[in-house]
Amino acid sequence: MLTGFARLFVILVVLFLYLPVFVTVIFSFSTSPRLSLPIEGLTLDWYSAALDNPQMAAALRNSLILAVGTALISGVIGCACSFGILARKSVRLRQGLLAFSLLPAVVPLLVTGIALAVMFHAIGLQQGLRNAMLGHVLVCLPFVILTMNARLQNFDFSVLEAARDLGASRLRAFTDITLPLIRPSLIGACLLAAALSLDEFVVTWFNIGNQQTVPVLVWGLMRRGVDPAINALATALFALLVTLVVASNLVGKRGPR
Amino acid sequence: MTAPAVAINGLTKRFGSALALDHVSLEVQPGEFVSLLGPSGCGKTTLLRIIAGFESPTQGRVSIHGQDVTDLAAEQRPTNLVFQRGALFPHMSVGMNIGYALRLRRWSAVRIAARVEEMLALVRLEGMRDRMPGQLSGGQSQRVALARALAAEPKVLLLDEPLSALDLKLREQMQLELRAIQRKLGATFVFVTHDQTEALVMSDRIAIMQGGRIVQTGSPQDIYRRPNSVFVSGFIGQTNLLRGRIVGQDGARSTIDVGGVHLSAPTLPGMAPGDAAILLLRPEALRLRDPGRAEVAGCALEGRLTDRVYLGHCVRITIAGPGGIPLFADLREEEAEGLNKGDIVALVWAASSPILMKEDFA
Repeated sequence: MLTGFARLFVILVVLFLYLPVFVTVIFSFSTSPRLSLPIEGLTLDWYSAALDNPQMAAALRNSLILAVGTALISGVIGCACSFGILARKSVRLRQGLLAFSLLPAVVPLLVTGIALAVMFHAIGLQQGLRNAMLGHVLVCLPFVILTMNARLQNFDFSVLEAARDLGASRLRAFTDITLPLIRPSLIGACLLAAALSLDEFVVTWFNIGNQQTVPVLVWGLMRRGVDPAINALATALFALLVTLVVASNLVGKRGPR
Repeated sequence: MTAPAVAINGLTKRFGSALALDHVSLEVQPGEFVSLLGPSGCGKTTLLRIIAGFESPTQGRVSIHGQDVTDLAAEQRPTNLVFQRGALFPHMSVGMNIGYALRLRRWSAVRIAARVEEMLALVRLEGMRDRMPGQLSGGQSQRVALARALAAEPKVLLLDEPLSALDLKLREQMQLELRAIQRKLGATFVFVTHDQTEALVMSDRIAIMQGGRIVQTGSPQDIYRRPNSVFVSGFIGQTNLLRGRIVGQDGARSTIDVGGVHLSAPTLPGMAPGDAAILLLRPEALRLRDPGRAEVAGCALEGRLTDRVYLGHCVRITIAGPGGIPLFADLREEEAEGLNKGDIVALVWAASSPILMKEDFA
């Protein structure tokens, strides 16, 4: 059992971690436009206000497009990458390739964001949703590869040879054997990518031009003071993210041994 | 004359600078059970994978029933492989696994179901059709893998150490079962193993591999009784090797000087007096000297008993002969009774037992 002091410490850490989120969630339901305690009453007005605001609706739409697109693109590329890496026979080559593909994750986002903006400008790609999408894929890919790599660690490649041996073409072996076996891991990794994409700010801000995503919009609105509708938007985003991450973990853990 | 089931001609395989197979040629007749036997890294698995179509040879051709398949992909070859660890599809039931090749061939559901039942009966797994691979024991998994590979009626069945992951008792039982299935179907089996007993028990013919080459092929009896090299003799069973020099030859028999003792052995063509030679004596061919029975000159050795080990089915004794020559013999328990360390023991053997060999040139 924890001693009194240790228990207090744990409580403080948990408060430090979750109090800000908790406050935001509470205020998103508060009737008073001022951020003050105690709460006078509960309402869903701020949520309808957020949805009625065309700016916010557009931002939410963009965020969802980016999340879905990033999930699909980085899911496919990341899955292919980790398969390619795991299929190497040499352990050293495997580790080297893995480290190399994880490198973008340790580059500061600021550097990635600026570098992408400069490169897109140099090759004449207009800022916008497409550039932001490419940026999101870049940012999410290492995490997709990492999760896929961990989950495919025990993948038995001989089952693919067995399928070929029994007469399956490469494509048939993929659809009959590979895909069903990796589906849970793949969906899990895609959900994680969607979650990362949803709250990405730095790279988005440098590349999306005059469009808005939820984080970019919230940042802009915050500079003009706190609108309670922001709390509603943030809470919605938070709920979505928690759902995605939990789902990612649940789906990924299922599946054959 | 019908074409051999498998004909391998001058097969060479390089992995980078490493030579995995070095001009290997082998013919397997229809209905034959051939084992490729050798230590790990001898090239036996590579050879099997080339026949299956998973590796392509650097040089040489592979034919199956007269058809050159060297350039065909694995899925186009009339061969099926049983993998070392089964490689069952974990997301498919036993029945789905066994019927997989048949579904690819667009057999009707009714025909597939009948064939699956037939295969399940063959490997004695009736009633297991709806189990998932995760619910099977090791032996059951390998049976399903065998049934899956046989369901499509391959012209040649290839087996890559399918029993090596099983424990000894199950392995011995599966060896007999596998052989019975092969005899029953009259199918051609090419079986890779590093276990000499397994090869002896199951095969019609054994090909012993070493360093990317086939060093000897023959029936289990041939290989055991007439190994053509020290490597083969050592690989098939434990044995006494006495190194010496031929000092005399009298037609069918040669006399070999081993550390000052003259021993007699059947002459090996091509060896003349003065040549260095190795005398091979299987431990089970040795007996204690029995004063009541005649013995052949040069077919006995006397020495001090240095070791005695109880092996269950026999007692292994080791003696140090003249000049310290060690010789071990497997005796029946009652024969070895009363023998103790330090006793002077004389071992004798039949005139036909010793085998003369040249030193290997690696």
